[in-house]
Amino acid sequence: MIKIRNLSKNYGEQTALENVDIAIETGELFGLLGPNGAGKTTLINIINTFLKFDAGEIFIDDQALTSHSNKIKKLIGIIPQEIALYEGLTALENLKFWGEIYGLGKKNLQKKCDNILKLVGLSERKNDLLRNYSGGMKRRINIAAGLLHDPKIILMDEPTVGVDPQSRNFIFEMIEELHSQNKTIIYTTHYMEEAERLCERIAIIDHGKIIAVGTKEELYELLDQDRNITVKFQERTELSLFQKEFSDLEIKQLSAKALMIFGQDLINKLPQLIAQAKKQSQEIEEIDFGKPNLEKVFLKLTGRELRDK
Amino acid sequence: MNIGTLIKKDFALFLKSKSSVALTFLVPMVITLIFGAVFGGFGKTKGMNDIKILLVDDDNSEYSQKFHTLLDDLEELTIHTKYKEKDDFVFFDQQKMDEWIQEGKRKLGIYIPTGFSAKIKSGEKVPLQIHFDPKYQIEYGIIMGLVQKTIMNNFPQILFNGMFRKANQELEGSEEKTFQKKISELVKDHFSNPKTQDEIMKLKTEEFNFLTDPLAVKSVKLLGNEESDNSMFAQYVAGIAVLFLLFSVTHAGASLIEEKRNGTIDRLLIAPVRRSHILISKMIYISLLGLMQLIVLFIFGWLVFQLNIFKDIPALLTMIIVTALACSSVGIFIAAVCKTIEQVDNFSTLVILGMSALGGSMFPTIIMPKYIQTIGKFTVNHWAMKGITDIFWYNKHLSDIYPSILVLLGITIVFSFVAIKIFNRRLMS
Repeated sequence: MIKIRNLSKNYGEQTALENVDIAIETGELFGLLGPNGAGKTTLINIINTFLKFDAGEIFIDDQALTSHSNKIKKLIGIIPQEIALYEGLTALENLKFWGEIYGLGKKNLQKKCDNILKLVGLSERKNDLLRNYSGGMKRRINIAAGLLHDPKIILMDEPTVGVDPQSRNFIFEMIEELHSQNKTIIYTTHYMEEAERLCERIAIIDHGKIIAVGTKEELYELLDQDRNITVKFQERTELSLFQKEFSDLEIKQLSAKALMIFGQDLINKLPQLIAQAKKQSQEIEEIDFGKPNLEKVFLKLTGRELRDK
Repeated sequence: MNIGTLIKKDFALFLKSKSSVALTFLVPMVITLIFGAVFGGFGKTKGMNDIKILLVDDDNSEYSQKFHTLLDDLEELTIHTKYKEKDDFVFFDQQKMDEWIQEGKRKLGIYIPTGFSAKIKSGEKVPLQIHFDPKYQIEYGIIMGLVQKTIMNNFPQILFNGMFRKANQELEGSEEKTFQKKISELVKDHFSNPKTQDEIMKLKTEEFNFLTDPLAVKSVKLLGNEESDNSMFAQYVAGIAVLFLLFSVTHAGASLIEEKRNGTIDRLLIAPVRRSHILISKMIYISLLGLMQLIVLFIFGWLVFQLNIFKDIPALLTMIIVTALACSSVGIFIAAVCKTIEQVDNFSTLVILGMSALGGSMFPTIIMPKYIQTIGKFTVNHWAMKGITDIFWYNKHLSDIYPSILVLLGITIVFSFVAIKIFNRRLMS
């Protein structure tokens, strides 16, 4: 469905994307996970034709993006990060406007609007001005406007940013419903929980490069599951307090009060680790042998946390 | 404290934006300068620009020639008595003077009829005629004042001759003492208890006429007599309409910036819409908005002030269309060169009020120094007002007002082109 080969994009001297290679199948719910500024939105904006790229190729339904842009545009539904709607219009007026822009005929339009309003659960308030909606409700209409023309491909750029938990769950259910309709969805996020919950395959992106692609299970394998622990301290801690004593282990700072340790035979090395903490007056609060997650994968691959704290 | 921190943050943001700082302080300064220049003038060019008037002297007497010379000496006036016909200069007659005023070549003329000198000598009311285009009420008032001042300051015999004539009538068969007493009482009363103009007008007695109204100035309106009640309104429609049109279209143009800010422009660019269509549709919308605004204003003028908008509908419609187009292009240009809505607000205030002041939307250009009048010709307001007043006041038709139409179309093309270029670069990239 979507093939991206050696895609590169620069903003002046700054590299936004470098040799990106991804293939996304029809009906796949594909996640792009990375911290802010990693290049997720740039990649989405290239696929949706908003930005031009400097090198590489993109094929959508075997059509090169550069030569069939207008035809391809109708295949794509974009859910932008910002709420890009007219606050002075009602929800229904907004939907009708975007529907007409995507070439929906008048007969079809009203029916499509009614259906999509039902899907996002706002039929009752369709005639309210958008400026009177809550943030979560606006976001649902924002999504509805992108889905109105029944696109084959849906690009969702961090659709849950600034959304209340109730609306977030509603959005998740809607995405799952769309997925069940065999829509191809690219979902960008910097919340690993969202990627883990929703996506079949995930590409981890950092500094414009795809550093890992796979199902979450495939990505967890990168962690060397049985050979990592997280140690949380009561006070701030420093890498340097442990690195010298445990030079055979890979230790990374997970947060100000937490370290993540990778290596073999960790269980046997625990008493020694506890002793070192005591020696350094570092009181251990918790040792986590818990399940792997994408946060740990990102930390392992980049040495940094996924989210800024 | 949070409030203090927030205020400090806002000041820091404001001071970092040089354009905001410049526009915030520059706008009031420049407007002040323009107003100062309009009313006071710069340097040596102080005072009002001279008014060019025509003069026809049918009396051709010692007094009429003196009157002519005295008017000619006034700084406020430039008198023309001759016009060029083939290779010769010919004196204006009353008919030719009226023709020139009707054609808009001059705004006013003074006609000195036969008997001017004789009436001065006899103490009877001195006949004079001021012929004028009623559009120029302000200039008429100025000329009237100058004529009265010139006569009263330079022909004192009018007063004395009038006084003696009145005395002779009053004292027919009476003694000299009674005459002196009566006259002295009249003069004493008049000058000891000065009356307002309204009180004098109310008196209208023969007793006072010879003191207060020694002139018999006849005002001759040469155009728009049937519209004398709404004479000022026709100018207001043209002037004020353009001013407000510029504000409204600029505001509409600024919506592009707002749409860029809220992401709807970007969403449109992703949609199957041609980039050029986004701008073109916006320009059409703005032009239609302007068109509607002008049409409504003229219909309002017709309904409320009996403005004869049916005088020449094709010409008026053409002027409305080109004015709306020109204003829209200027409006969208202003919006294009600004990066934020705040900048549009400040910059549009500067440009629109400046153009309106210089172009004649706010006050008659006649009261401005000559160089300001010249600058005014580079404004939309000037050409829009010229074209519209040509239709209303000079009964000109479509074929006569083509200079205004061409200039406004030229403004439209230039400003639209530049605005589209800027918007394409800034918003669509």
